[in-house]
Amino acid sequence: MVLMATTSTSDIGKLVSDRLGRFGEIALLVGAIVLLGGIFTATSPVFFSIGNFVNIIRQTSIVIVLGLGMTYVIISAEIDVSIGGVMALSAVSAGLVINAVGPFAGAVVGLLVGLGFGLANGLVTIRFGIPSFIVTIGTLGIARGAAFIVSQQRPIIVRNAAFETAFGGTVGPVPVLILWALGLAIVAGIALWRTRFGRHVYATGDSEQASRYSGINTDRVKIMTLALAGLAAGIAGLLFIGRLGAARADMASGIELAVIAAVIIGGTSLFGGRGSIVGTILGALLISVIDNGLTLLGFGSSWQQLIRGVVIIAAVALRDRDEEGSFL
Amino acid sequence: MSEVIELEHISKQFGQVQALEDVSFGIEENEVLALVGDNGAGKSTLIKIISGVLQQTSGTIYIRGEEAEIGDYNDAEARGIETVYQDLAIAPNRTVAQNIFLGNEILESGPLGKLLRFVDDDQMEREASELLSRLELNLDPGSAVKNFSGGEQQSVAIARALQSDPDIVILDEPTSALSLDATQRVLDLIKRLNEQNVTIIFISHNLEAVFNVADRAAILASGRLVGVEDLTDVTEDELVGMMMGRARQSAD
Ligand SMILES: Nc1ncnc2c1ncn2[C@@H]1O[C@H](COP(=O)(O)OP(=O)(O)OP(=O)(O)O)[C@@H](O)[C@H]1O
Ligand SMILES: [Mg+2]
Repeated sequence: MVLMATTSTSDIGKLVSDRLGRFGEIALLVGAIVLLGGIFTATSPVFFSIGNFVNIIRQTSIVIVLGLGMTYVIISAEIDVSIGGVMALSAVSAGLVINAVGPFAGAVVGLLVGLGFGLANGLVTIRFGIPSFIVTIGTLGIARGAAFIVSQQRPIIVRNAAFETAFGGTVGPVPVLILWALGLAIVAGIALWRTRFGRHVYATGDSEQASRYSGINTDRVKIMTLALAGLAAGIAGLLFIGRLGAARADMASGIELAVIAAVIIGGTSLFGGRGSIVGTILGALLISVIDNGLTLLGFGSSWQQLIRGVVIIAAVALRDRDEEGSFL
Repeated sequence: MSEVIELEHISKQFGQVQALEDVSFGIEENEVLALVGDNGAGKSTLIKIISGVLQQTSGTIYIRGEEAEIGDYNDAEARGIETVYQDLAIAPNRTVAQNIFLGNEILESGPLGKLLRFVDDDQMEREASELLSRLELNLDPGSAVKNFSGGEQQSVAIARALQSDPDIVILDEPTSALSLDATQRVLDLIKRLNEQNVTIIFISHNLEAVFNVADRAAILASGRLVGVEDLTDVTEDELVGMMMGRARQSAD
């Protein structure tokens, strides 16, 4: 009787997910974004405008690109906290090579640095059996330190017309950055949802044992997801140069938290096995709308951080419970 | 009677633990062989070696007379061996159909032909439906497995093993978590499969079930084979005695 009398957030969460299902969660996120948009429209004269919307999406693009890789990683029940450092090292290395050799070589180097770190994260995690959380804390330090060493602590200014057109320009009114994020999101989303590899990512995170017993090479799946997160960090580094025309060793610090928040708010389970790219995009947009609205209303970044924290906890409390209904 | 699987001098060591020691016996074509023994006797270890999850430390497996190296699940599947494991091997958030085709997904020909092929959920659900109704299981193939009871989840694991039309099926404690009713249904299923010429290795602590469905029993005690007995000429008491490690003569 005592048990029956307790109504907790997990009951509400169960109700939400039972009644609405997967698409309901997406609808809930869209609803939250629209609701907040409405509130900010009513309270700020500048919020509701094409210019501001483009601004919001542009600010979100890099978080979305990083979130694509992170979604794969978390669905496979791993985590990668090194992406900020890897992104900085990719950008700094790419910047130096663009200036010294050319834009194409620079882009290749940036991508290879990201992919290389991602692969290293995966291989060390799997081969040595160290939790990816620990491994990527290590590589975060390594990549960030290397970025400072490589750049000799100076910002690297990149002025290259071809590179700017490819990553920093606009097509009509739309920043290329947004198109990159959108294109990559479509590819990542379809691969996750419709290919055999994507299914194996879900299965591996849902039950590694069942997957292994069924002949899925779960080690390879996890190495691949971590490699993809690294590659995404490399791409994000290039997009960052395209947008700002410079790379610095201390750029994107702390971005992993925003990215993980977007993924989790978007409905991906920290326990693995559940989640979606669409959710991650909406999660990132929700955070950006909150940040943007608060800025327009004169609340600074301290408020943004505080509210972001509340939103993450609320999202997890409502949804991300383990099977027994207790919290992480 | 010919032997489909022949085990010769199989031993398995986990560090200091000798889980199996010099186990040799044969499994005959189209029989139901029960593998019995006390907790920790080495039953699961033995079937994991046959199904490719574990590798023996020494010894040889022959399948249909040929020496077989079973390095992983795919090697076992290629030889027509499927296994339902004791530690329920299902993915709870995946649907029934996705679990049945786990690692064996059906692909449709995508826009780029063979280059890029997408999973075909409709086809998998159709085939899962067919398989489930053949097994007289009434489960929605599109529903997540975690929504079902323990017995139903066990049925999904069994359906998963049968999806590839194996001719040897290994079941490790398939009834231990089930109600009497559900147990009987699994036993009936074993009998029906056996009638369709499937060879079955069946691990159970439930001796009533063993006598009900099995033709012979292989008895393990502390990693050693105590004997292989025709179940028509041993009593339950004799079997229990052997499970305690007493050879049959001394039980008389
Ligand atoms: N992966 C492992 N690592 C170390 N020891 C193991 C491992 N798997 C099994 N063992 C040990 O090997 C022995 C045999 O275990 P096994 O699981 O095969 O027994 P079992 O007969 O299936 O028992 P039960 O009836 O409890 O399922 C036990 O002592 C067990 O502790
Ligand atoms: Mg066992």
